[in-house]
Amino acid sequence: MKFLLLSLLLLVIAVVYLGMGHSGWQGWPGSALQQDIVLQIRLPRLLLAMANGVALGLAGATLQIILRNPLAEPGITGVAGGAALATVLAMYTGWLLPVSWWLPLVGMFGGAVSLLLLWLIAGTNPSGTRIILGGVAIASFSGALIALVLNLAPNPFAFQEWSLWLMGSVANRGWPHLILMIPCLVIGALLLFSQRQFIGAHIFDPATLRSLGFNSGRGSLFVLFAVTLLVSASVITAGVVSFIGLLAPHAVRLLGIQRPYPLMVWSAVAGALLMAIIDMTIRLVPTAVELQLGVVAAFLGAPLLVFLLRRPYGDTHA
Amino acid sequence: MLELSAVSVRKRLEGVSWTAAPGQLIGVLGANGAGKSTLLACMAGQLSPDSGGCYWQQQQVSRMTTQVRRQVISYLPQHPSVSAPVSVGHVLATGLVNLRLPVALAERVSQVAREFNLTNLLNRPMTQLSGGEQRRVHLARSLSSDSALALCDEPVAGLDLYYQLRVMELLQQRARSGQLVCIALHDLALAARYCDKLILLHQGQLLASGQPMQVLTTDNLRRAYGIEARWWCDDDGVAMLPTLCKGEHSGDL
Repeated sequence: MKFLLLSLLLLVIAVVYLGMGHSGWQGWPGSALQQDIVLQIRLPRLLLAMANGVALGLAGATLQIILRNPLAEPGITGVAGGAALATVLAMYTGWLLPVSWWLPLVGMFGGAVSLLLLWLIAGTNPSGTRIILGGVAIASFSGALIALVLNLAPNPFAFQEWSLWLMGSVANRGWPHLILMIPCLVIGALLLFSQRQFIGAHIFDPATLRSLGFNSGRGSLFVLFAVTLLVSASVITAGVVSFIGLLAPHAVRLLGIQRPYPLMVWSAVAGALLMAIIDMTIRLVPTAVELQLGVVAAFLGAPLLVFLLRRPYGDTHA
Repeated sequence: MLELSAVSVRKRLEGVSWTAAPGQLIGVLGANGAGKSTLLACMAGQLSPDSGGCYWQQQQVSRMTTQVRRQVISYLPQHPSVSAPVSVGHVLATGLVNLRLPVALAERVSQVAREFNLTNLLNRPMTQLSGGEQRRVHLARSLSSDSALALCDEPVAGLDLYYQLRVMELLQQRARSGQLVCIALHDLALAARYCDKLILLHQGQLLASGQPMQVLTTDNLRRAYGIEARWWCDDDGVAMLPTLCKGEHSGDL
């Protein structure tokens, strides 16, 4: 029933997103120009927003489960910061065009370096607290380096362009961005699916988990690699979008879904819904300059999270 | 056969050697910090000793693959917890992962729930249970695998008197059915009444091992716990009245 309702909601949002323009409801595209607008601009943008929502929702839920910490989100592990830093550096040095098949590799390289650093900081038997504190250190350091690169920007236009990119957006994106995103999303999701029992067993304390017969080192590496892939893919196609990775799993929990695997699946769906709604708001609210996704996500997300937290929490289950 | 060969863990255990055959309920006793939990963790393969080793059927536990260890050993840590408000049924089902079960998962969960009197709690979230109920769920989870070696760290801690006796009887039944069950506990009367053998640790060393009344002597209890004990035994069971040794442990708290 929940699945049907959410699918229906997604469908309604998709229809409104594709059919609405600044001038209001435009309906089914009649002319070739309208068809081009829908198929070449709105549809890839909507799908990219939703793909980013899926990636961030899935990554956020997974991190919260495996770190046993409801505050965990992609930004807190430093992976997003590492991917952003590598991408900004690549753009700064002018190595890469904004859309290039090398861009995801550079972003992922940055994310993977952050992950490796985190692994070294956390040690061979990582605790959730150590991972989070290590991630915060890496995220802060990446943030400082990004600020330095912006500080050294060759001209104000580059500064503005990079700053806006860092705030996150799916505006002016097309099918090539989506084609960059999808393989990473599919591989990351499949890796997490392959580790679903290991992730699910993280409801237990570390000592009990160790007694359940999992190869924890390999499992953790697979899971963190998958999260890196998802977050890096999101950063390189839409910049840094905060809050979705935190908000989506909490919204799902408050709907009564607590078991790890359903939580991950529904967080992906909730992430897609949230991103579609947020980007639709950006498109349809008339402003002089188009707002950035990260900004609106935090604007809408923070009050929504506070509203959700005022409801009874933690007593429901499924 | 479980064999501990000069197991040492820095600052916690010192050259503990001991053997036990299957089909027994073994109590591991000792004061706080004596090394009971460390010893059980070594037996479970959770902790590798600095020297010496734990062997199960001549195979070193710390060198077993995680899958083999999973089939052979079940383990209840001292402070088990569940970090999400999932249902008791889900906890029991998740606790059965990576096992070759002879019956369907749902059927096994029902069996375990019946055995531990948890059937009416199966759909309740863990967060809504009392401490004792949660403890029973964790115990049921750890014993659900029917492994040859069952290790439980303080299985009756936090349980009311009825369930303390129920659990001890259940552990005894498990031992009678061929399992080797090792438990760490503080209740000496329960240990004397239900355990086939005891090992008594003192400051990381093995102070005594053997039949309960050979281990729970006045001298051993004075050295291990700093208490004097008066015992009453009859056909119905064993009772003990502990008192502090005069002059010892004064001002410890």
